[in-house]
Amino acid sequence: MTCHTPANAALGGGLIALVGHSNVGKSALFQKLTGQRVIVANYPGTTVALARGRLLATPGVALVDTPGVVTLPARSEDERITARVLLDEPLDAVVQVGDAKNLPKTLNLTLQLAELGLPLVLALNMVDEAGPGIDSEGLAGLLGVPVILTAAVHGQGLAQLGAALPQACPSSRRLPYPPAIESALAEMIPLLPSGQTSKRGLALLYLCGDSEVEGWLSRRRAPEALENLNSIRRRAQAALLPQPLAEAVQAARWQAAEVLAAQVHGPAATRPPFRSRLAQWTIHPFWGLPILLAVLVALFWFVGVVGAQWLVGLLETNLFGEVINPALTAFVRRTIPLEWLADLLVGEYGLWTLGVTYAAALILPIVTTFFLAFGLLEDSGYLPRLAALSNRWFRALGLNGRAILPMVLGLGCVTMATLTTRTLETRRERFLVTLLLALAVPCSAQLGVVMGLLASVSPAAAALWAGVVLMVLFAVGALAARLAPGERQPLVLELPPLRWPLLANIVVKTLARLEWYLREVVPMFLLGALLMFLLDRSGALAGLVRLAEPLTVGWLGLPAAAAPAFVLGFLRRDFGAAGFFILSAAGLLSPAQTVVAMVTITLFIPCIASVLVIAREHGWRVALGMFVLIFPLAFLVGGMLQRLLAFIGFGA
Amino acid sequence: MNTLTCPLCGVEFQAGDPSACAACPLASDCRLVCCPNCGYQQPDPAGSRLARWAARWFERGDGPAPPPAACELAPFCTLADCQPNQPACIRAFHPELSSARRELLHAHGLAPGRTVTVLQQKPVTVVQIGAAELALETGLAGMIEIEPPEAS
Repeated sequence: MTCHTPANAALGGGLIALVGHSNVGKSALFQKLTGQRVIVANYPGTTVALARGRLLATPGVALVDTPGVVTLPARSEDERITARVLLDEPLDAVVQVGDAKNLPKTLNLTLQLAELGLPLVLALNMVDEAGPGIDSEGLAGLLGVPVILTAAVHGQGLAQLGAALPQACPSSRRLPYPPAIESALAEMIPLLPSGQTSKRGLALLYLCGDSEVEGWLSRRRAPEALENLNSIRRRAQAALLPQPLAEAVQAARWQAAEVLAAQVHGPAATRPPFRSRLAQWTIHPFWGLPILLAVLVALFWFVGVVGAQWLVGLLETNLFGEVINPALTAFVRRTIPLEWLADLLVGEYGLWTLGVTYAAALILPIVTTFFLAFGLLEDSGYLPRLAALSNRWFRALGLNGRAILPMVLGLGCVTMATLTTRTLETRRERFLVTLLLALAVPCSAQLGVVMGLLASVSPAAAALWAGVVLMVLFAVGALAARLAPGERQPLVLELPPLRWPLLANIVVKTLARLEWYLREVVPMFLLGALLMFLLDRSGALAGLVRLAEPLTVGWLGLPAAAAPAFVLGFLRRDFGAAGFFILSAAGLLSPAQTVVAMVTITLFIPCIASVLVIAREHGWRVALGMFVLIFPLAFLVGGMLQRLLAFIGFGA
Repeated sequence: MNTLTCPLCGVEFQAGDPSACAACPLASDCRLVCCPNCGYQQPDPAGSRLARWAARWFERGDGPAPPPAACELAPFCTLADCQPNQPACIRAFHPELSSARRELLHAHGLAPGRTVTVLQQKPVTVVQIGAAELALETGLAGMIEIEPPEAS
């Protein structure tokens, strides 16, 4: 491969963007090249915002990891983020990360990026799964850019990729289009402003109706010039009818990509037969359900029994309850003469005894087990298959199976999952999934506490809790789907192959998530403890308990001591659930009361961080509307359930 | 109309053949069909969901070959009509398919002239395009017209 005009031969400084389809290993490559931890998983949509870092090998060079695109023009919010990077960021090079197994699709995007005229390097990733025989030298010669074979998760090809970055250069490949498109391009190019991308690439995106390019042009050209461009586009479309312009452009690219792929591709690798068969079983209309059930039972056992019972018992009861807290309390009482200060630290609502003990001894072991199990599921590639299996269930909610990806992610953290709704195509889908996340999807910490509590009651209690929460989720979802304007989008989803997860990746991302979790949760727990302490000292807590009595005791049938748990629930739902955990451990909750409390706190308003993200993504009106709907609904369902359980004599 | 073979005498007949049921007092609302030759009664698989399910179940083994795909009968049909593991060459998109959907399908490699393999139809249509697998809602797959197998 010869490159005559490398954009930045030395790359002593500058910015490189990682661009590519979803689920091709961009984040894994980013992690290896920068040493920075980002969440990597085997499903599309892991990256919904930009991650930035510096190359380990060349610290002066910044690297930006972009959300995956299916193609340009961008359709979803995360694809628009990538389009904006290509248009606006001062890029010195673009590294396209492509799936080596799916060469025609990868090269289709390569041709599109080549048209944009940016200095390019193609990293054909997952080469370990693609089989031997991709002629990277030949492909580099045909494209006029460096082509490197990599397997990012194994660290293969990274040194070669680093060495190729200074050789990045605009591709010499120029794709011919039908005459109507070529003449439209010739007319448009003189009318376009100069930018870092080529005018031909910009003109092609404009012809295909790219809203990001339209916006970019409207900021740089007068309305008359824009009208001129629009009329050229209309004429080109009229000449091509009945075929849409974007389709004609794509058809030409596919044809060229297939020809290129055929020239450089060797024999394809065969997949292990058992894994292929298992992959098919996971979405089989019959066998898919027992597999899902087995996954859920295993998750319940690992988080609910190993995490919430065994590990919590070890930490909360044995370590904190019998060793650390008594010793620390005695030490503080002995050394601090001010009673209120000692109480603030180690009293009933002390910063240590409530804030730190809840976070470190109760929630931490639960989220650790959950993140480990969740990482295993993510990396196996099961989640997209679950989306295909569950598509029919989401039809009633006006959604398609893709909605399950943010919802399952919500079992990790609702705040993060609300951001992941950006991968959904329409505003309507994003709104509906955000509502369901805020209403009925418990986050990992809360789910772990709920599982632990219900596992100590009975499997029937767990089934009852799950049944009621799912019923509310489906009822509200179906109603919202009828009221929300817009149409349902049918499912189109690429299914990655099932893979054996790498232990190192699971451990790394569990640690990354735990670090993030502790940073977010500990200050919030300390704030909660401080709030409870102040309410208690001022006598307001007793007043609040009395005030809430008609609701907690009269309507929900819970003990009066449940009111503080709901106050904590305003800060974080898992904090509230942890309050109930302590009540239950003290023998203050009957089985029926436990189920009612868990259903109510699950349907309770989401944590403050989630509300802020909902407001940022959908505006304060929507966030407020959700609050107004969710808060009374949680108590309405809890009270009705309490009466139903009393009627059937559950746990009596 | 459903063609049946009498298990007793081997005669082939149509399930709705009136001559088979003319003499029977249970003719209306009966799920059984009688052979017009020997009178032997058998359930009509087309009339019973359970029978259809059981028949499909047993046909998976060494039983009789599955019925021909609609593709082999019609001049052209859709991806939703294909049998599992059947290759199909895409002919065109249904005119009512929105341009946004067409672009998305194009981007995934479902473009006219390309050959794909249908892997399964339920609960969603799964097609293999090169080394990639794509899940499509069956309603959407029904809007992707394919060439008949002989031509593809």
